[in-house]
Amino acid sequence: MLNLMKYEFRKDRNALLAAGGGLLLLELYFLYCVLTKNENHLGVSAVFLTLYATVCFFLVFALAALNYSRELNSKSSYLIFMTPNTSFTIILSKLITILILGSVMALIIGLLGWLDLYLGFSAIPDANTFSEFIQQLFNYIGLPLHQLLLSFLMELLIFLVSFFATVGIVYLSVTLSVTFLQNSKLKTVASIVFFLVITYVQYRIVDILPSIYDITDTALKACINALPATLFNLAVLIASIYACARLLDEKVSLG
Amino acid sequence: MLECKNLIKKYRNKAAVDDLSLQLETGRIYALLGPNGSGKTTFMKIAAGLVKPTSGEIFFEQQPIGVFSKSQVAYMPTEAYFYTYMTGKDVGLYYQDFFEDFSMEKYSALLSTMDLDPSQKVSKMSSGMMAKLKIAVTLSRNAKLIMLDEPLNGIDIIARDRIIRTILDSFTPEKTFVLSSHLVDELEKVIDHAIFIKNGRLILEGDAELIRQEHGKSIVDMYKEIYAEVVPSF
Repeated sequence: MLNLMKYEFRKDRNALLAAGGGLLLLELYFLYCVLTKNENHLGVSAVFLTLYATVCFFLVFALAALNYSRELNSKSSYLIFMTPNTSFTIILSKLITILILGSVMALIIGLLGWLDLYLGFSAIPDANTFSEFIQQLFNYIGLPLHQLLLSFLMELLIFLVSFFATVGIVYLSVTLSVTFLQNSKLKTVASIVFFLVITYVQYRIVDILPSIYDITDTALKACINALPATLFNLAVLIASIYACARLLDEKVSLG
Repeated sequence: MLECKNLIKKYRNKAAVDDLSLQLETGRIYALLGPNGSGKTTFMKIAAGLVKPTSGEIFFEQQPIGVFSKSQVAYMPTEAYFYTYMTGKDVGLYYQDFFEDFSMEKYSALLSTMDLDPSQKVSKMSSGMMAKLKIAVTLSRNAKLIMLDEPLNGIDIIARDRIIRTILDSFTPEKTFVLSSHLVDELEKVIDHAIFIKNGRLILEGDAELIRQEHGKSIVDMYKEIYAEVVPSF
C-alpha cells in the first residue's frame, strides 16, 4: 500500500509543484503589499490569493479524477495492474493519497490564511488588531470557543466524507465507462454522464433523509442533524470503492 | 503451470481469442506464433491479468489469475508502458518496490550489456532502446513464467542475436518462457514448443522437434503454410 501511495504522490508531484509555485508567487505579492502598506494592491492581492487557494484545493480533486481516467485509458495502467496488488488496494491507495494531499493542502491554505489575515490587519492603520477582529467574530457568532472548535471539527469531518464520497463516485463513473464502453471514444462523455446521474441520485436520497431536530439552535444539534446524510455519504464512498474493485477484478480489460 | 480451457475474449462482436485451450508446462520455451491480430497478445494479457476473458477458465498453478499469479508471472507487453517521468533507474526501482523476485544487480548488468544509460529518461529513448529496457526489466525478475510479447520488435538485426542469447541465459529448468514473434526464423533455433494461433483459435501446437519430424518441415515453413495468403495467379 505504501509503495502504491509513493508512486501516486510522484505522479501528482509536477502538478502540485506548479500549483504551489503559483500560490507562493501570489503570497509574495500579498506580502509585498503588506510590507509597503500599499492599500490599493492589498485588496486585489488578497482576492487573487483567496480565489487561487480555493482553486488549488479543488485541483487535488481534479487530479484524482484526471489521473485515474488517464491511467485506465493508457498503457501505463499495465505498470500498476501487473503488480501483485488487489484492485481494492490500488483504489484505496489512490483515495488515501488524495486524502493526504487534500488535508495537507487545506492545512497549508488554512495556515497561510491565518497568517495573511494577521499581517493584513497590521497593514491597515485604521483597522482593529487581528485579535480584536477574532474576538468580535466570536462575539458575533455568540458561541463559546470550545463549542466553536467542536462545530468546526464536525463540519470538517462532514465536508471530508462528502468530498471523498464524490471522489469515490468519480472513480466509479470512470470505471463504469471503461467497463461498458471499452475501445469507444465516448468513454469520457459516458464518465461525465454516469457521474451526473449517480450524484443526482445521491443528492435526491440525501434530501429525503429524515431530520433529527426540527430546530438547530446549537452547533451540536446542527452536527447531529447532518449525521444521516454523512453516514449515507460514507456508505456511498465504501460502496463506490467496492464496486470499482469488483469491476476492475472481474470486468475491466486494460489498454 | 498455466492452463486455460475454452478461453474466449470478445471485443464487441469480434473474438480476439476464440475457444482456446492450452496447457503450458514448466521448463519449456514456447513460441506463440501467428500474424497480427491472431490473438497472441490478448492471450498473454489475459494470462498477465490485464485483460479479462469473456468466458472460459484460466489458471496459474491451479489458482485463478490474481495477486498470486502476478507475483509469479512476468509479462513484457509490446507497448511502452512506463511513466514518462521515469528514467531507466526509476523503472528498476519500481520493479524492486513491487516484485520480490526482482534483482537490481541483474537489472544493472543487463542494462550495461544492452548499452543502456540508467539515467536516461524513458520518454527520450528510441524504440530500440525501449525494447531493450523492457526485456532487461522483465528478465531481471526470477519469475516462474516469463512472457515476452514480440521481444525482437524494434531491435536491429545486429542486436537480435545478443537479445536472444540474453533471453536464453535467463532461462532455467524451473521456469517457463513464452515468446511471441512474427520473426519465426529468429525463434526457430531456441524454442522447444510451438503454438500456432489463427483468428484466436489454436491451429497446431506441439513439441517443435516432433512438428518438424511429422510434417517434414521447419517451423518457419509450417508458419508460411499456415498463414500464407493464397496469391492469385496471373
